[in-house]
Amino acid sequence: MRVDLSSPIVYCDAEWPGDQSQLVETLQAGIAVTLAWDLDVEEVRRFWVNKEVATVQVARTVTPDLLSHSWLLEDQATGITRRTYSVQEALRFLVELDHFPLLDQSLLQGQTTYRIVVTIAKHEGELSKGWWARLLEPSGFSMSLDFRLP
Amino acid sequence: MRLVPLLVGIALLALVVWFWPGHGTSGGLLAWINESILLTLSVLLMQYGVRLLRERGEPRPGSRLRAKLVIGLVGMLLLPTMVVQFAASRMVDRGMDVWFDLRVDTLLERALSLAQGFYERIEKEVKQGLLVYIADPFLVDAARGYVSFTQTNDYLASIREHEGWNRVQLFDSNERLLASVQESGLGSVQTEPLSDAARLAMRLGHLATELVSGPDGEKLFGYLPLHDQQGAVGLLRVEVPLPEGVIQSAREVERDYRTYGELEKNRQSLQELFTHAMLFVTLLVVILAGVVGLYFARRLTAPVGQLAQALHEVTEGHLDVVIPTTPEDELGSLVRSFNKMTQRLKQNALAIDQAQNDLTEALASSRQRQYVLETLLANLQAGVMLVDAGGAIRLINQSMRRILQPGEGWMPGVSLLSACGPRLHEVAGFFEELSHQTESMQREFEIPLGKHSQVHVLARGASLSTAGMGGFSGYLIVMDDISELVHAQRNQAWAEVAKRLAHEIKNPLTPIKLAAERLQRRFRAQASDIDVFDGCTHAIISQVERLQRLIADFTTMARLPQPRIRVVQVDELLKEMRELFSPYRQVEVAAAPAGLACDCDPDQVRQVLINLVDNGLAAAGQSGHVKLYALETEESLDWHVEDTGAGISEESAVHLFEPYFSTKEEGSGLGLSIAKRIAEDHGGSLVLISRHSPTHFCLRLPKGLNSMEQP
Repeated sequence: MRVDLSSPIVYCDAEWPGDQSQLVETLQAGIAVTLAWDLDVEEVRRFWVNKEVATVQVARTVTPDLLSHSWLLEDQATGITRRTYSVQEALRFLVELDHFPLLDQSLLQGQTTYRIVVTIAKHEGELSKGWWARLLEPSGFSMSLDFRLP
Repeated sequence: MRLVPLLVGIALLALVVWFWPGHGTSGGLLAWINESILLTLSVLLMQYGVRLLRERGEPRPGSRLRAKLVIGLVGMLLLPTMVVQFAASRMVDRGMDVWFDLRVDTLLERALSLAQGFYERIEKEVKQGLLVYIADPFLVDAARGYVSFTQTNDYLASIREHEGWNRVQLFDSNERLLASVQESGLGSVQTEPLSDAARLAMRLGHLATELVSGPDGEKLFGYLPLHDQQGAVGLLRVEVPLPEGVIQSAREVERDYRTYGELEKNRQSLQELFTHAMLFVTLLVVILAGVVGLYFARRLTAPVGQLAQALHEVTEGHLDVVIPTTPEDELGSLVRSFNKMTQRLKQNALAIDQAQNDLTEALASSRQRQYVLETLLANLQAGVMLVDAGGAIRLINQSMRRILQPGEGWMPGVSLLSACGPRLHEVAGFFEELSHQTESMQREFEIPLGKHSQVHVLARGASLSTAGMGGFSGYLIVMDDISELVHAQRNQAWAEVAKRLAHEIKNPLTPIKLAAERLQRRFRAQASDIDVFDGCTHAIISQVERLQRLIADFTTMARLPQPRIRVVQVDELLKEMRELFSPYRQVEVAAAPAGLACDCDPDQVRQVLINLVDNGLAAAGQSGHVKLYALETEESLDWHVEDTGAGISEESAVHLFEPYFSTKEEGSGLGLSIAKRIAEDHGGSLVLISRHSPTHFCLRLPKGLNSMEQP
């Protein structure tokens, strides 16, 4: 996980820390996989709970097409889809957030410590839209990184 | 039995540990909800169990019964629920085994292979068809722009018709559409841009196909790059519609295969999810059963608990307990009976309290009356004695004892007649006479106190009837010491006699004396016997003088004026007395302390002192000794006169201060009587302290007379 503060926009690079071979096996078995990324930017406070500054949610789904041996890549937030015939490309689309824009630096203050908390939940199969889906949601990975404006 | 909640709580805690969700465990929030519920139940049960174990005293009424009912009801539901869950879990396991059978796997894989084979066959046919035109010079020229649009269109139309494709389009190297033909005539005006796969195919020079899903079904696109010696000059894009029914079946096969794969992959998760779901339902049922059981147990045990609590309060003495009325059932009847019982108990207790208060008040009143009566009797100057009908003394006050001086034998319960004795025979006679009368009676009599003293009493008696004394019948005897009164009456009588005598005798005495003296002067010479004559005349004159002195004393006694009190220096008065009796060497007048004063009438006190010293001189004779001195006490100033004479007999001492009592031949017997009266007029007393050796009189005058008299 890495934060890029070189430009007016705060960018984040992150990678799903789980076993990627299991993802490949799942995809090759024809099962759609969705990784739901929950990125929270918090102001770190010493004697109180951290103050939330920004929250970004990203969900990326790779659906195998068993007939054409291709993978349909879909960004759930924007609805943009594309098809690839390379499993590696599908895997990268799924497990990597490359130079992902989080928020504008004008929202942050100097000399203040901020923390990016990334929570990644993996869903296999079709995403359920029901209210109960969260009840059955498995626990995911979580990682964090503290940073300060230069 | 007390250990049951604690053991169940520990068992639930073990379940919490057993079902603790690990990383990647299915169930999600549901698993944590189950864990929370189990943990809460476990903590509550263990807390209740520990409280039960630590409970020393009597538990709250009805709590045990309620706990047993709840445990019983929950247990009744828990056992079948657990059995059902176990059976369901086994059924799910068996169902999983059936669902994910190997034959199903094989079947689905073969179906998918068929679908894939169908797609691959179409793709292969498209690719084979396109390969024919890979080196078509007309198409290369057309892509270069060397052929007219009409010719190109015609050529593309012949290809489409020959191959049976739906649409054929030709693009140049700049992805510009050069010509397009399709089965349904004119195509859309807007050109569809090349996809990434098409660009990639043109760039790499590879033949490629692409499956595109659209609103009008799935289509297979084939891309044929056109090359000359310099490189790619264009791209031929063909569109082949997939047969709708077949491709739909193929997609369904793919979907089923995917679903099956998901299920098989999540088989463990499904089982865990099912377990958590069942556990959640079980816990809900248990909690619901517990709440319902608690509700009904409370409804059932509340009256019992209230009854037990109320009984406890009644045993503690609180009779104001009223249990709220319950519905018309057996418990309600019991509650109503209990309320009636406590109400009656309260009424009885109130009645008992009222009676006790009345008794206490009556007793207090009786004691108060008795105390008042005893105080009254004790402070009465009159003697009071209560004798019952049998003649026994029931009550005698202190004044009666002081008057009668009966001795130790006079106690309540003693017969009055037997206790009187010879000295008190007058009292006995009075009571005997009273006992034979129905009305009250009164009598005066004297009771001897010593050999030469007596007390004059006024006795009054009354018979007490039964009706007026609350059941007591007897006699009330009241006696007053009227000795002083009798003495005063006697003095008054003597004063009256003296007054009359002075009046009747004094007047003739002077002419008698003058006549006797005249006879002596004129007829002495003529007397034949001078001695007899002188003796007779002297006798007349001396006796007349004696009578005059006697009458003067009587007059003094009758007309004794009220004392004029003033402050007198004792020393001066004693000095006067010393000078007065200076011719008598027997008289000794002691000096008083300087400044000692006395409130009195000095003339009257001087008269008393002269009388006392004179009597002392008479008694002491020439060889005796008379002493006069004054002493101050806290309450009085005492004038003492002592003489060493023969003394006074006991009999004479009794009548010493009575008028006309004298032991001297020529005494009038009024000197001490007058002296005593002067002392009494001063509010003091004249007493004989000792009858002989020495004979000692004391004139006691109280202090503060001046301040009392002056206002």
